[in-house]
Amino acid sequence: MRTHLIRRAGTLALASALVLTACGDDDDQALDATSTTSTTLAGDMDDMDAADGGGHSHAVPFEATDPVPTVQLEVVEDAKSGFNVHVETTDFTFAPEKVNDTETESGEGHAHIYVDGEKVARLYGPWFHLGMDLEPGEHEVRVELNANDHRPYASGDAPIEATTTIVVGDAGSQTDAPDESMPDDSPTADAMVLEVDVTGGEVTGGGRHPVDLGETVTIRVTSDVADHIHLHGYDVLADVGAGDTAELTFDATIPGVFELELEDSRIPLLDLEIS
Amino acid sequence: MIGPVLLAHGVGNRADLPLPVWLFAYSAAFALLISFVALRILWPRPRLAASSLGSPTPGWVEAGVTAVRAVAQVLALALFGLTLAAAWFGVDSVATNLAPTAFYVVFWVGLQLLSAVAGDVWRRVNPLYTIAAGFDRLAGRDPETDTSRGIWATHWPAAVGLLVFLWLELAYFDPGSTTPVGLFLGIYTAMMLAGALRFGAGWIRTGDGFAVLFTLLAALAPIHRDETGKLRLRWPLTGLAAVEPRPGTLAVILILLGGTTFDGFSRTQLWAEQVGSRRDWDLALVNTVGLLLVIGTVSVLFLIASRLVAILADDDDGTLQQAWRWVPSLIPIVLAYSIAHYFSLLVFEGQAFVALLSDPLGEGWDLFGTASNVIDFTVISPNQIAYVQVGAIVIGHVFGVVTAHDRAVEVYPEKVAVRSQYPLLGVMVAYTVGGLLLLLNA
Repeated sequence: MRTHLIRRAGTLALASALVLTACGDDDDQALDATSTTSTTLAGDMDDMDAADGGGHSHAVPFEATDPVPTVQLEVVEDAKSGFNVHVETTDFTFAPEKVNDTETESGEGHAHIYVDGEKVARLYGPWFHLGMDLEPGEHEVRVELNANDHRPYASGDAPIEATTTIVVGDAGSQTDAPDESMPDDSPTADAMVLEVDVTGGEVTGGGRHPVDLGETVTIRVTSDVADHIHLHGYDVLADVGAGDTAELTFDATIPGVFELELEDSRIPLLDLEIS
Repeated sequence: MIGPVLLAHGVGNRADLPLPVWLFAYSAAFALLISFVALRILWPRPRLAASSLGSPTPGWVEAGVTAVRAVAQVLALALFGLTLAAAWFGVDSVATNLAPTAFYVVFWVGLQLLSAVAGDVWRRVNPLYTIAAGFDRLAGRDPETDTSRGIWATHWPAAVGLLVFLWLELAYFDPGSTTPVGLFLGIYTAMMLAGALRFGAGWIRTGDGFAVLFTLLAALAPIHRDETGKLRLRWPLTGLAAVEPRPGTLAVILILLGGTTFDGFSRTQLWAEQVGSRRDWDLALVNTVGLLLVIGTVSVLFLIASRLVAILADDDDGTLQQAWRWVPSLIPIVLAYSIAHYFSLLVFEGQAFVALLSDPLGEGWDLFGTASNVIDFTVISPNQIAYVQVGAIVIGHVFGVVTAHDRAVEVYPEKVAVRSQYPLLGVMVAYTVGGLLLLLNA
């Protein structure tokens, strides 16, 4: 009786194992492909900004016949200030209207630009003005191609990217004022700004907002009553006066879905989906 | 404008990320596949009932459990008193008052898991029972007495109690506030003790919805007490065959299943659109309708399936008898849903519990030195949470299918048993895929 049971359980386990390995085959093929004829996306669910690539990946395989995008980088010092970055791609389409989408067609997405290893901005097109303050000396500029959901494109295991080195002269040669949207001193990650308004208990600008893990987020809340805004989980608090706007800035380092609440009024303002 | 729905359920600083679509698809496919494979190859003779008694434990285990139980009773009573004090006299803030976290997280979620793993610990550790048994002993009555008759001897009072609790947690607009928590705990305790006074402390096991639920979940555990009170070890699933439903038991199970389903459903964008920007009693009304509709849907699906099974098997028993047969097979699914929806809550807010213990009333105390503890949200990753959620639902599904199959071959002739299973299998697949779908939108 016992062996009969064990045999049946074994058959069941074997059947399941067979099915699972059959389903899993496609992924293994994509990960192991070293030929340049197949494109993959590196990085798995919690590895969105894989500057170092690698690690255990769940790659989304494209068709082996899809062309592999390439990228080339040219950075030239601007006559007035900073540098002009020209990104030349083949078989790639910038799709800024689809940014943050979980689906990506082959060859579309956007790019990320890194200075000295730190992400500076997203590139939605081939030209970019690098106007941030940089110490005199050599700096590494790197551009990598990303899918709509920010996972980097890769060919086999190698990410599709281009790197170049720029030389910043002495302080005197930088004459222009800092660009509008660039944060002040050191290179920082993308700054995301959200605006919410609460009037008479009604919320505009609420709902669920997706945020990249590691992004710096600024939330501006305008309220018609004096209260406090509280971001749960991160435990960030700010006071807001009646008719005033309060601002919260924080780094989205913890993944999950977190609620921003108008504390005393117990009114939920928005959800941040950080992944 | 659609509002967020996160803190609608009282406690919680953080909600889970949506399940990755690929994980959902593979899990659903796997659950479907394994169900049909299982039907083909599973045992043709019932096995669980014979193994449900299990083997005796060594003497030192008995002694150990008795010692631990005494300590646990004292601790449970103390925690209960502390929770009541916090709810009645503490500061009205979910973040700094012990009561909501202790009640909705440590008690409600924690004890479901504990019962499924360690057996019916709540039977003797339930502070309501401890108090009632104390009164009984003072009055010279055996605390195991239960003289209840009629509806009081059924599980219907328990089902109603659980429904009220779930209404408070899921439909009411401010469940984390100390007033409703304190009110519920106070009234519930008073009613349970009144019943115990009338029928004997033994009635608490029948009349207390929480106790009934934890006893049902304990059927999954590998350890139990037999009729003589001795501890026995058995294979995890086998206890389900020994579950004896009475009027109201099915209601308890369906209310639980429906409640947890509604909890998941209420976090979706679809529901958020229905709710709009409603607040206060407007919100509570919509939630109440939603809760009752979901419980109703879950129940109707199950009742239709059990009726179809009976038709296919040429079963002449009454509709209720037919439905009760499958009650044990729903229990793993109840546990699976609870794990899927509340596992991460327990991991994170459970840490908050440790901090709150030091300052239960929110007055700024630091009794145990943990008052300034902060929740570490990185102890598990969203990946790990997703795998636990999916694993729980799929395993719960498999256990449910196996249990139903075992019961079918026990009750029906072999030729009929397999083909009669299909409606029940269909409902279970619906519960499983539905459960996974809810996680997609988290």
